[in-house]
Amino acid sequence: MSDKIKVISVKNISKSFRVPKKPKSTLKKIANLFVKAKKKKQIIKDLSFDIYKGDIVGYIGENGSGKSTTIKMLTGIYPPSSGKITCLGKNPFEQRIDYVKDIGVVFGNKSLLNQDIAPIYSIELQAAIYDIPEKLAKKKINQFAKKLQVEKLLKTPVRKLSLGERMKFEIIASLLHNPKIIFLDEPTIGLDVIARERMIQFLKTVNEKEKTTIFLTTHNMDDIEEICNKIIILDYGKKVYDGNLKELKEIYANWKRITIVYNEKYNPFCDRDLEIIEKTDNVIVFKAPNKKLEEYLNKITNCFEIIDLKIEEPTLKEIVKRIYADGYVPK
Amino acid sequence: MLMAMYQSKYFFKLLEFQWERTKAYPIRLIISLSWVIFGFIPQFFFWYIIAQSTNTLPYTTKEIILYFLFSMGLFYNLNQINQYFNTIARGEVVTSVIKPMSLTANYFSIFFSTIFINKLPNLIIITIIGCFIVGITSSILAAIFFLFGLILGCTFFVCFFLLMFWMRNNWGVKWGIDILILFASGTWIPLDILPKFWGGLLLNLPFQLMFYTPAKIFLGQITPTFWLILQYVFWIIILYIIARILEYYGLKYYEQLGG
Repeated sequence: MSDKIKVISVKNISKSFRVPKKPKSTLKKIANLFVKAKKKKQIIKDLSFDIYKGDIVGYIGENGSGKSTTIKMLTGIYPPSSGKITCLGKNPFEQRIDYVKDIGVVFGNKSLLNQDIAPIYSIELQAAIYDIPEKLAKKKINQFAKKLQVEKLLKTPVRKLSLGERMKFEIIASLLHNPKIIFLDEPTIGLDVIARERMIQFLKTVNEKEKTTIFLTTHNMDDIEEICNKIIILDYGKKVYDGNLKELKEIYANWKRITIVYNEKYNPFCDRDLEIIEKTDNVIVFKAPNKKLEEYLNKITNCFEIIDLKIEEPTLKEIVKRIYADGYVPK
Repeated sequence: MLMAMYQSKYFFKLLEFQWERTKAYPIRLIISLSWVIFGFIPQFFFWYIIAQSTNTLPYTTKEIILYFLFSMGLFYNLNQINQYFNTIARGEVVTSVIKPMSLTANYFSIFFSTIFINKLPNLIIITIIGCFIVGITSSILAAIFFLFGLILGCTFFVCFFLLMFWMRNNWGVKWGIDILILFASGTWIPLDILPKFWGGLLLNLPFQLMFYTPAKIFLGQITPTFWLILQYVFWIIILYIIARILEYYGLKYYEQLGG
């Protein structure tokens, strides 16, 4: 996938914000009415990573872990407190106007479209900003709209569109100028299965055709599994994993999930030594370490009158959940 | 200003965009027009009574009515662009920062196009009325200088908008600025009837170029000169430099946690 041209280089960056501080003494409380007391909160801690041309990177982390802050630094909205960012050979903050010509950004909850009027006007305005000839812009808009199946909605006021439809137009607006890197901050937030699928498919096509680098933050692990060839996991501002999905699974998937459907008759003390993930009426999901898989299977088959049995790899969601809980990745 | 107009394609597209927005809610335009008429009526009576009762006023009754027709009919302040002042506090400004132009140019274009589209019907009506009453030359020159004033005013508004990086949409300060513009631009009271000190002071500030000067051109009491144009250019350049400095430090200061 990657032809090893570095497009993003992040070296030891940190970012702190000033957050309100609650004063303790009465005097300080009075002073706080006039000048707000603030303390520094470090959001990003010594973060480094490299991204290459054509990569699709999933940037994941819990709420408040610094995903959006990183995107804002990478898109030149604000500079890091320390460290160095180089994107497409430029400093995003210092050379912002030049740099943003080559990137596209979609913020899941901040719209590029005006709510009062049809999306076509906002998209055409976007094309004018990037100096795209009018004919070419119209052709591209129609082409993208057709691919995302929203061509009939181009002249419908944005406020009458569903969230999924609006999101598709946001993507169209940010892709018009053929960006070399696309930053997507939770683009599938609130989308239904079909809308999400179409968007993912569309992004895949753009990546394959144009070799566009995609940097994606999401809480949806299905997005990551379907589209990303590299993932970076953040845990409260610190990078805990940077690599591909396969490697992550090799490190973390040292157990299997065994799901059984059984007859009601079983010995309730039988599953005492087995780790259970989920238990409903007549379905149990076990977490079996790879080393003890045989032992688990023997015990399970002896204890239960099994109707159906399934052995699976843990899902990415489960792996990430464990990383969040442990806070580090064993090497 | 120059920075926004250099991307003329974007600038004209923005005018079209604002026109579409206005068309989406035509009732807003009608209310805005009727508000001008309602606002003009008390001013008319107030100045009519003053003009009738004193002969020290350097204006005839007709002139004072025309002065307020021009300045009140075309008056604009931060209220017209209030919706944009929240964008920094709410974090929506990021969608402008990712555009390949300075925030100064972008917001100047937005403010100018919003106010221009909003004031265009009034400007056309006043220019046509003026053609019959004060003459074609004065009316058209006044309209042109009103547009120069609008460029100056919008550059000032951008400076003030960029201060929101520190002030976070402080309505009290905004209200104060609106009053200042109303007073210092000669919209409330013509500056040449103020006491000497205040009149002299305000005539040396840029705000008078927004309404007072175009209104006096409308009355034929000021003849536009090259020196006058230079004054506009001087203040626009000064305000532009201030805006760019505020933009740089504002973005450095800016903090927005979360998505």
